[in-house]
Amino acid sequence: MIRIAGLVKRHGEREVLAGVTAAVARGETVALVGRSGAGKSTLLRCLNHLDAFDGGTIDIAGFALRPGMGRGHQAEHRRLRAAVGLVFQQYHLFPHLSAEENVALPQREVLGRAAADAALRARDLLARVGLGDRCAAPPHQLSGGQQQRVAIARALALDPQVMLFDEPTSALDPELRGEVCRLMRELADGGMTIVVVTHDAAFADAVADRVLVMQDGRIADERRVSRSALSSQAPG
Amino acid sequence: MLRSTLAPRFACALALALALALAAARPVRADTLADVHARGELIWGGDKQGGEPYAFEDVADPTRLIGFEVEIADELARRLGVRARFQQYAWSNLVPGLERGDFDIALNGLEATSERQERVLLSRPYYSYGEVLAVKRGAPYRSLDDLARAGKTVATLNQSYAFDLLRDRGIRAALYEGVEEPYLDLENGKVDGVLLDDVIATRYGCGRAGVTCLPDEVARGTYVVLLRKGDVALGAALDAALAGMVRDRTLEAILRKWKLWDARQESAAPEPVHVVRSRAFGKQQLLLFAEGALVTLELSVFAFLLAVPLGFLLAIARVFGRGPARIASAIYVEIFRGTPALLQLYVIYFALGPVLKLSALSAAILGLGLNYAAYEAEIYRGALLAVPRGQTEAAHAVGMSGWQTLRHVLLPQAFRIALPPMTNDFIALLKDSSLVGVIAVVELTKRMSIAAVDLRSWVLPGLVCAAFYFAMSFPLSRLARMLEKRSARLSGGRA
Repeated sequence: MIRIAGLVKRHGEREVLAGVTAAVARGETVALVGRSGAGKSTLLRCLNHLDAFDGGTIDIAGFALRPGMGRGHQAEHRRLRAAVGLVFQQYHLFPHLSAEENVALPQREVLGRAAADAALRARDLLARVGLGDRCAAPPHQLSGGQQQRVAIARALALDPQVMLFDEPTSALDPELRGEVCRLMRELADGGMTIVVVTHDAAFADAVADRVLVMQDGRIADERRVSRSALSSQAPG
Repeated sequence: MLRSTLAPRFACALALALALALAAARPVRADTLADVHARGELIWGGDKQGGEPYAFEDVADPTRLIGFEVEIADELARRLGVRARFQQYAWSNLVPGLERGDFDIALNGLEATSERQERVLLSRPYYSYGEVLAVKRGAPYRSLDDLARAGKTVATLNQSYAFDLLRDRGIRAALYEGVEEPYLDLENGKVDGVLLDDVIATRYGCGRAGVTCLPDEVARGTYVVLLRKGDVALGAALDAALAGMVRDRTLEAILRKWKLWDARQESAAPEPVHVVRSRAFGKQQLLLFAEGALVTLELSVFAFLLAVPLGFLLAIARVFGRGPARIASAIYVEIFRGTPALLQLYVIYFALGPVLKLSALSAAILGLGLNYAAYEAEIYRGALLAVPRGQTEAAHAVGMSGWQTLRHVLLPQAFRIALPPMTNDFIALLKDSSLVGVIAVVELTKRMSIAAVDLRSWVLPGLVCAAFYFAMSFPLSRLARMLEKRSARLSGGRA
């Protein structure tokens, strides 16, 4: 589903990504761990081309990303982003729209869905993440955990093949980690391919099939999480 | 911004300030003649904007003042044994300025009228003029009555006797502060006639290609020197000096030199022309003020309706545009913010007016609108930049295009940020609209200054004018406060 080969990204002189090579299979959940500044979040942002890169290739969900793709590829990038959902660390919900509208707007604008269909799907997804009764609430009336679930629903509404999570536990109370972990595992069980960036090793072990350790812009280590470990670990 | 709780205190302070100003405006002073002798100087008030041939700057040497009245003033001072010194003053305020004591005498094409006679002391005449009516070349009008019957507008100077004549006959008057502008507007078809005295008409109007001056004078009158009511000794001295100048033909020589000598000067000077004005502030005046307030509101609303979309386009170009669009927007904003709005109005009305064929009101709306667009652009630019960067990223991350992001994510949020400062801007515009009084639009402030001269007091017209402005801006300032609170509440929960 995802194949990254020799990925290089520079900020000026500094190589933030210094030749990353990795692959993620369909339905697999991979955690990217490492110290801050190791390049985890940058790699994630390259995967849906929110950031351009300087060398190497990414093949993801049927899209071939290459360096130097500029304005000419905007339409393609928009289709890519629908297929590869990203949940931000700070969620970035649209504050002027209700939870339901946050989920419905991209469907209408990006997929061209009819308003009634988009609203139906939004309510359905919000119910699935446990917010069936908060559809009309604006983001500032929702807790951090609830906002995160709206953001997940917003990405899922575009029927993505891959979901990217940037530090999903960093802004949550510890007791809510279990919930987001459960939600992600539900997605994985449904066949979703997931890449999650986290600095929380316990969370990575709880949620992922495989953990990639990043250091200085490279994959430094890789470890597979055993099924038994996964099932025995109490998340959170 | 004016806060609601300050409103009553503000009104009190305003009333107090006006009362103090009034008290200061009536100084008690001894006879000015003694002052003039002690000082060795006769200070005379006039307005250089009146132009040739009265008292104006020499083109060859702008520091030098020339004109037939400069020579008369010099000669009068010489005969009093002192030097003459000119004091620049706005022409329509010469009488209040004289009363305030800003100069000893006013000498600047001031007509002898019964009204002025009641208020100040008049010297004997130094010039006889005829009121000349000018119409557009080829126009069918042959007299003031023709224009009155057709319901046409006639231009003249504010506070002039011609204005009284027009008012007496119920003719709509367009009021100007300069002598050239009325004829420019006549040529451009913005007014249908110009009534001014022959000195101005022959120099600024009758020679124009598009203007015809009608041969019969509408009225005849005289220019006199104005003195303060109590200055009897100075008045007698000036009259004696003027009589001497007539006797030894010095006056004739001056007038001949300036090509002002004509048959009128040799016939007997007419009595001060009779002018009747209502001096009570009644229902009629209040209605005129309400009319002025409506003009102010109309100006402000339409100017704002122009400023908002234009400012929006400028902001979009500045924030999202590439090279040329961004630079053009920045230049527009800097030019319109960096030059006085008054200058912009002059340029639009008097320089572009002939090309664009704009009425005074449209020119005022256009001028204010273009000016405020620059300020709106800055508000919108700030508001767009105030939307967190994460919002754009989030919109892009769900696949929305640049336009969709702008339309559905950035603009709704920027609008909420911009709304309170926009409301404040509109309040400022309401008051700034008083600038357009210079291009013959009678809005609220202009109405006040006209009424103030009619009523001989600034206090009541000032208070009424302030009350009208306040009634319009206060609800808006409350609205702005409400919007600010709402905006703060909404952004309070933003992650």
